[in-house]
Amino acid sequence: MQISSLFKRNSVYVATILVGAFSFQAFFDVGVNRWYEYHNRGKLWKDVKGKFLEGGDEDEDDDE
Amino acid sequence: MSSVAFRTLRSGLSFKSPARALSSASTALSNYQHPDFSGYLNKRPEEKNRNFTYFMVGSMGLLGAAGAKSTVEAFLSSMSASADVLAMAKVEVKLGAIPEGKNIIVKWQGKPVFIRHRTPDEIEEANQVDITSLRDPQNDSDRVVKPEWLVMLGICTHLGCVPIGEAGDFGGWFCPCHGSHYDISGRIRKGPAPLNLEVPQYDFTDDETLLVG
Amino acid sequence: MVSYIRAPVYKSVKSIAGINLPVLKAYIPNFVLWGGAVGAGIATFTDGVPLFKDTFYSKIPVVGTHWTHNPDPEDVPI
Repeated sequence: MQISSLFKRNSVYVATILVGAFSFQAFFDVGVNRWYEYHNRGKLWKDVKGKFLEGGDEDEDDDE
Repeated sequence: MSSVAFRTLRSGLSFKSPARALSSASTALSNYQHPDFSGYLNKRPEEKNRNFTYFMVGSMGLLGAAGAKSTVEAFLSSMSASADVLAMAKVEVKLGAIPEGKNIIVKWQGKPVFIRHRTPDEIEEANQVDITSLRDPQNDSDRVVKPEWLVMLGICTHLGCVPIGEAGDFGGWFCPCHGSHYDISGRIRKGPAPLNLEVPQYDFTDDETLLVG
Repeated sequence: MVSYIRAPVYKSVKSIAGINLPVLKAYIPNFVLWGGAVGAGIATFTDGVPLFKDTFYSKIPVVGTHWTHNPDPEDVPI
């Protein structure tokens, strides 16, 4: 299995690129989301929801 | 003699072996010291170089395809209705509260919607108009779902004023801005407006309920 | 007794604008691969379309959950 086998036919080459683009989008999406949620941890709606909705658990784990 | 010289010259300048021709010429004709570029030369096999180039070109195509898709998607989604518009996109009207021969105005997507409960006389009147004489010929039956309920956008097709109900020369609507008269089917009869009052998408979910949008 | 003929007899393959059956047959693998490429291209560009997400991509094994969106019911506006 040589990498050059992907370059022998243009159809295989283009197909590989587009399949790669499809999967790249998903991975990029997950990666960016993960970074964003890490960068803004503690400020997101899912983190503060308990404080605003009654009936939610009132754990005040902020103020660091 | 001359033919031998010609042949030598030709073989010396032959494009089949330009390197050899040039190197022999330089050693023969000058003592110029060429810099040594061999340290810069790529010593990897040709196949590896080619694979590297193809890989880089393909990676750029991959990122380009993903970027192009994202651009197109962002552009297209900017044209679709936003959530606050969608939330206001439909209006439900209880029809039981509207007596026969009365107008009500409801707000739908920021625009007034006229709803008139027409009397049988008015329906008759709307059907008897000779549509060939109209500016914007349209049958009354093409403008209503149920003949007793006339639903249309209350925006004058001239310059967008809101016409006044039960007024004008034709017993329908009258636009005070520039004097357009609409009949009991909302069709333009007199004045500057070019088109009949627009009919929105609507549906009767049951006998008592009208859903506009 | 061998019977000779004067000249070779040629028959031409039926073709439309230079395209004939053997040529088409030889191209079939290539066409299949190009079809796959087109399919991947369509998939790339319809990645965010809800219809395609629900119909195809969420059914991909292992990673299909990436295309399903299950918000907390109390976060959904009525």
